[in-house]
Amino acid sequence: MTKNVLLSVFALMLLTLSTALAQERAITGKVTSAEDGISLPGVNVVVKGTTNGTVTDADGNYRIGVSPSNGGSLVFSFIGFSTTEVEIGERTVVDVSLKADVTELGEVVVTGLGIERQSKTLGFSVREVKNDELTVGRTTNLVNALSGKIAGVRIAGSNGMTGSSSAIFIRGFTTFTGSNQPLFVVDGIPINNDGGGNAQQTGVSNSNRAIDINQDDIESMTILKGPAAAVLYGSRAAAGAIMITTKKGKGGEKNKAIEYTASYNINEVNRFPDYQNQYAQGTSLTSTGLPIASVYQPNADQSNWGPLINGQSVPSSYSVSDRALFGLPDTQPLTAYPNNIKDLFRTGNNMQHTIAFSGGNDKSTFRVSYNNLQDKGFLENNQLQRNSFRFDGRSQLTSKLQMGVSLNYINNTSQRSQIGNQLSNPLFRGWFLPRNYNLQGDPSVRPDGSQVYFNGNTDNPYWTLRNNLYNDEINRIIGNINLSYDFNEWASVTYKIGTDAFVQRIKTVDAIGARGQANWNVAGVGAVGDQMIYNQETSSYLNFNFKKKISDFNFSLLVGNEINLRVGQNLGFIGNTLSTRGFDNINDALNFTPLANGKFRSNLVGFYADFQTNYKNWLFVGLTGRNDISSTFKPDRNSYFYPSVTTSLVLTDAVPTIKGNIVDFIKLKANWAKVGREAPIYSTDTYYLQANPGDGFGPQLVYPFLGRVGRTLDDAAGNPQLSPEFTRSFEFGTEATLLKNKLRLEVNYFNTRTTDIILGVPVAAASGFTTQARNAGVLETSGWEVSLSLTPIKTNSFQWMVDANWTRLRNNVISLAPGVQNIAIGGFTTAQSRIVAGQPYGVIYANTLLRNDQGKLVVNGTNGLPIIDTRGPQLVADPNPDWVGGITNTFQWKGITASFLFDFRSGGQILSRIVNDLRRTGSAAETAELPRFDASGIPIANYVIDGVRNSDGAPNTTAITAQQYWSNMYSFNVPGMGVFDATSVRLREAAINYTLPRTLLEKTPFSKVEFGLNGRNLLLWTNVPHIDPETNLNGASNSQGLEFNAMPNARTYGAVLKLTF
Amino acid sequence: MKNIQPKFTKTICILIVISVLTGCQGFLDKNINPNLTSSNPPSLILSALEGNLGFIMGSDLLRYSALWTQQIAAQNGRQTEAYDLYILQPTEVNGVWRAAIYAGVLADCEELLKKDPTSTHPHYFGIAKLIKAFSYTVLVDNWGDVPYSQAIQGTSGNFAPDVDPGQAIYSAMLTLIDDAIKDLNATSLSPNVAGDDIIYGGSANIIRWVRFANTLKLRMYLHLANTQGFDTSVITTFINNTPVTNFMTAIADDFQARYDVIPQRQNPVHQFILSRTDDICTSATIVNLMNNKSDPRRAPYFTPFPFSPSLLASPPISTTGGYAGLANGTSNFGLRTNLSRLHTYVRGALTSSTIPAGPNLPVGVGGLTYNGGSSTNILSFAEYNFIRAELALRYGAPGSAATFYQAGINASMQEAGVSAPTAATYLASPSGTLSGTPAQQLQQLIEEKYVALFMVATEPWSDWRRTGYPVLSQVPSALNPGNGGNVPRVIFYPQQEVDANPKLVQRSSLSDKKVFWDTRP
Repeated sequence: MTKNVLLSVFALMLLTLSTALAQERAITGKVTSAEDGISLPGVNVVVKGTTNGTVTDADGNYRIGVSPSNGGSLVFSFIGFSTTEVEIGERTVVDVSLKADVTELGEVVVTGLGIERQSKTLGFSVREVKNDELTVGRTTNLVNALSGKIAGVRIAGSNGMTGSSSAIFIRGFTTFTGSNQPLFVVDGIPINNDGGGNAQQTGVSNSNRAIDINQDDIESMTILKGPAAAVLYGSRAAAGAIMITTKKGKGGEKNKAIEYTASYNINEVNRFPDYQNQYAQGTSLTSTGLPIASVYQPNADQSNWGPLINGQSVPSSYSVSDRALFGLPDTQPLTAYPNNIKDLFRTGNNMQHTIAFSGGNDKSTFRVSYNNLQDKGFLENNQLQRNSFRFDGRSQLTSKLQMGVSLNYINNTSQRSQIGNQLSNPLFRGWFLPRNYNLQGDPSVRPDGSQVYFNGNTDNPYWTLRNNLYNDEINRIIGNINLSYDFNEWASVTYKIGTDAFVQRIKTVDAIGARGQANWNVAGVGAVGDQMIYNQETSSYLNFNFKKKISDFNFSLLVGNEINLRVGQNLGFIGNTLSTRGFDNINDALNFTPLANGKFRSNLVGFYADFQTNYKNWLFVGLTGRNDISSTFKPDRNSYFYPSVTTSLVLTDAVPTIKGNIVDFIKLKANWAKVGREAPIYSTDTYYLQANPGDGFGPQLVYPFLGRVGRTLDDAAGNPQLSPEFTRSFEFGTEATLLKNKLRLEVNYFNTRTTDIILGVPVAAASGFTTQARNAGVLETSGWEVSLSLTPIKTNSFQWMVDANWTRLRNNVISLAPGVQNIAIGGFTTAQSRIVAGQPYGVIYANTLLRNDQGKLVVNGTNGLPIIDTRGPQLVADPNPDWVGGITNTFQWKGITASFLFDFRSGGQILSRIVNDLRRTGSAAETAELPRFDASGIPIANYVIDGVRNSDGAPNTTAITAQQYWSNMYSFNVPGMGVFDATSVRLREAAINYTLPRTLLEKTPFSKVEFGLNGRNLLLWTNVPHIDPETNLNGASNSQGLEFNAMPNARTYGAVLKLTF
Repeated sequence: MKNIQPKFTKTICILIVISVLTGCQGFLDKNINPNLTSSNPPSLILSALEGNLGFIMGSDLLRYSALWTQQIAAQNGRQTEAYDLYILQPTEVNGVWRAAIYAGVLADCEELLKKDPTSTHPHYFGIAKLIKAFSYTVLVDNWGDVPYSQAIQGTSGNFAPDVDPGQAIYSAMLTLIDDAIKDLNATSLSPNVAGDDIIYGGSANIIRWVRFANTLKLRMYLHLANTQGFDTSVITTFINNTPVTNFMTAIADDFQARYDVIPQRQNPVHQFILSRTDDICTSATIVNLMNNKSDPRRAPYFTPFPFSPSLLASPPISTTGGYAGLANGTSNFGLRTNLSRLHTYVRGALTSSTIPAGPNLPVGVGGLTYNGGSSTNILSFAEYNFIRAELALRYGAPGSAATFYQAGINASMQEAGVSAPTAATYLASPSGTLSGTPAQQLQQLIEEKYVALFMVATEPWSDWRRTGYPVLSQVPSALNPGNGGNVPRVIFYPQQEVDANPKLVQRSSLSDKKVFWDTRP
């Protein structure tokens, strides 16, 4: 099979390359607007009946090759203008002026299964993002490029490490514990975007696999919002779908182009905590919590409650032997090192090069591209390199048969640093490093390779970065072959088969002597992990299309079949107890533990039909039905059907009299759809697992244990009765174009309700199981989306455009399984994301301080200290924003284009562990706002907790010291006190690009030269102290709004150059 | 080209039809995980459930009871420090009750007991019943009333079992133990328990299971002895009717969990110290108690303080110091180095090639290193003797309290690796003889039992709840301890369990709804 595919690919490559060399004659011309005579850049020019086409340059000029024999005609199309066809005849110069098309008839968008439809006919919501919008910020992770640009779409990053994942949520959440990520489809073939979740207690910041896609290869991305738009993709698109259309070659002499794009961006931390730099490590409390004169405590003490730093002599924090080894003094003057944390970070950079060759003739086209990306993160040992080769060729084999092939090979290697709630995370305690510690000047490693640090409980940040390693390499192939055959004017068939296959090899090293958990939690004996993960998804689509026009009615029908096969295999071993430092080979280990090795396979077969009809091109109705058969259910319930109905009414065509100076176009749309969703694989049965007792603190017993295999009944009960969960949605909306195309507006209301949600329902463990897979639970999401495009100024040489979007959505957990109060979806025992009936999705529960009914803190009347609420975790935060939005302002003046994207998030909360840590340890600037000590070093009691006394309910008046205040208010036991409103405004993207005038290029080999400056995440305004609220503990996950010792976020800025030969 | 078109279309169509049809057969008709089994031989279940039980008795429950009875203290500002201040919340006990005991050990016991009796050796049933009975005593001793009669019925659809009174569970377990002993005495030609019994080593040592069974009954009778209306003559009858060799006879009979010396398979306390460096430390309460008696078990229990390699080699024996602990509840987020550390008795043999120099042992894993291979005592021969001593002292059971008391100390010395002459010196000191009023004798007895049961889960806490000994230090009220500053008497039900089972009603505090045998005010 593979061999045959390869042969066909090569055959086609040769075919397209050879045909591209045929002789042609050139036609040139200029395209202008009929209304005002302004030249139009970006107009599509195609030789009619061929794929031979080009685009006008910045001055509206074009040049296209046509075959000498065929005079034919040229078709000019451009958004907002009527598509115009012009006979060529004997002419060599064809100038055209295009008329504005106020009804937008020409705008075509790609919808589900790659079906191209006129925008005005759609009864559902899609949004297309073009390449130039995607590549503004030159981000490594494609998903980030959508941030703030689309109503109803929210991008949630995890942190600023190179290679970190970002989650994408289209219209909120549609299921509880399963994936809420949309289906990614490249040129009609679904690809894998898994892998973005982060472990909490070990490991690194992982990538979601869409990071493998080269943004320069993308022509456009179409976001299918909600079930109605994505229904043809079936069970896996209940959360919507993202369709990526790659760039294709264009036919014609002029289009034998070589394009080269290069960019270089600086990558740095966008926000550091604000530190105090007056007080040293130590304490000013006794062991029973009473104030005493401050004491300097070297060695392990990580808190900054010690004496005022003024150069006094203090004992070294190093042992006698280390002092001798490194020649360190026994005492040293106490000094503040204000940048000791900042200087741990470096300036990273991101370099990308893409070179693409494309061309063709009127029968065949091709495009070949190579992309190289080098991304160095802001911490040592964090980088990502990507090489991507892509070929796309298509050919009109006969007048009726068309064939295309595309193949993308990606090699992606990365090095990552430890993150998470663990002592090998260089910043786990590094964020609150004592202000007097000289991290850069002091030694981090002994000559034998072992680490040196003042705190014997924590890994030295430099040492862990250099010694606890994670390296991976991905080799991935995404490709497809597609055929289409036109039987006659009204019937055609298309067939497409494609696959996405990758092997990920991961090599991890836990250094001997690591104090934290690093990758494998082996308590310092050293470990090497070797893993190989294979993943393949193959899809086949067969579609029959029929079109018919009967009097005023147009009909079209699509009937098709999808076969989808997902297979995978994991192989991995950890070898622990290493003998040789730095050898890093698994053969060096004494003991071996297999990882979760195994194979998986799940299959899906779908049959679907899509019937569209319209009356006089102003009333459109679509009916869709799909039946899936999924292997994730038992055979007696694995087949399920779901329908959709969509409708749109072009009011301005139905009632032409309302068109005028104000109204150009109005469309009303409504739809109702239902989509089924598969079960998690292998959840219909209960199995026995290898025993592995553990307590959540690290200790565990890994089997084989004492030379024995041990198998235990799985705590999670399977359920043969599982049936699909269904997401039902309805939507109303309107799209309007007003004021002679100067204003475009789209408003949608949608409501999505998912029922029979499949989840592991927690049951009483006294039943012998802790969960059982069930169809339980109802989730409802509703919201408003508004998109607005405005052109406030448009003159011959200057144009100002505004694109804005605004989304408000509400996720409500209607019910869980009977008797189930809540389900944990991420986080820890305390500070946990939960699904709770009657609450918004993913609210955060945490231990916190006791408050009275009025929300006032309850204070111990005797000592003035706060009291812990012993009822356990309470609802402390709702991470769901009230609304989000984005505004892009674009200014064009001659060849200069400047654009600025601001994105807004109003409301929603974040629970920050760092902020609590910075405060309880006395590191944060605010902890030193009031003087801590009097002249003799005795703590001053100058804080009074705003609360009421537990004794009599009267206002608290007892004054306490700074250390008592901050270390109790934000103690380790009350993470719920670190909750902040995550409202923020940020300058997400900014770019200024300049396209050289054509006249300057006439004597150069270039047909187009463009260069620019750009940046991402440049400015941030928020009331959250110390951190960027856009960080997330669990990475691309349903759990949002939890920050636990996260890496900071990144700001990038740099330059880009695009050359076309 | 034209002539190939119909052929081409036909081929495609046929291909599609074939792929769809073959796809539907074997492509979709199963959802069987190829990586896991759905059957499980008795030997694999036994190895899993014994390992699981051992881990339970060396992890969460041990940390709670060892902190509350002040065998250890906590520092470093994390979870254990809160436990030390009696702040233990319902969310924190989910794992041990849910995954470990009920859905772990008990579910697997039930899987074993469901095996076909005609092809399964009865010794498997005997051991499964004993581990089940023991696990229920652990549940009752920590949580009081818990689900029993309707428990482990999830496979038949009962996901919210009723709660049974602890006393009723105790009486059912006494019957179950008798039942288990019958199984252990039965014979069969079916494959017998062997090395899969990672506690006692299978058929060759099956008598040790019988000894454990009877000693467990004694422990339960000791708990029952103080309850209203309990006829203590039952205990005398039981002892008189049981051959003395059917009780534990030597430390070789100890019911204990063994561990490997390789990472992630070591003693759970050792693993905890490695992953949560310095979160638990030595407690002043037990260190001072042992200092006062010049107890030679300090050398294997603790490292000397101030520390030096020479002191480690020849440990101090004076009463006035040489060892230091932290007063419980006084860490206040701090981390102290001026303490003795838990030593070989808990963490296994020393593996350091170089012993760090003094005066203070460096914190963290940079200090002494151990192999983590020490066993966790669950029910020991030493405890057997102390039970017999107390039964004789307080309830007129057969035997001499003084003799059993000394035998208990002696067994503990043996386990700690104390040499016979050194143990004899200790027994010859005033500490070696019960003296004074019955109440003073009880205190003396329990204090010795407390030292002998160092790092045994729950039972020292049960002794404190029953007798009030040893006398514990008060945690500082300025640090806002939980439970009103009172030593907990019982554990909260797990939050997830209460959430999932409406029949389980949460207690209001760690003193509310005490265990039925906890009758002391």
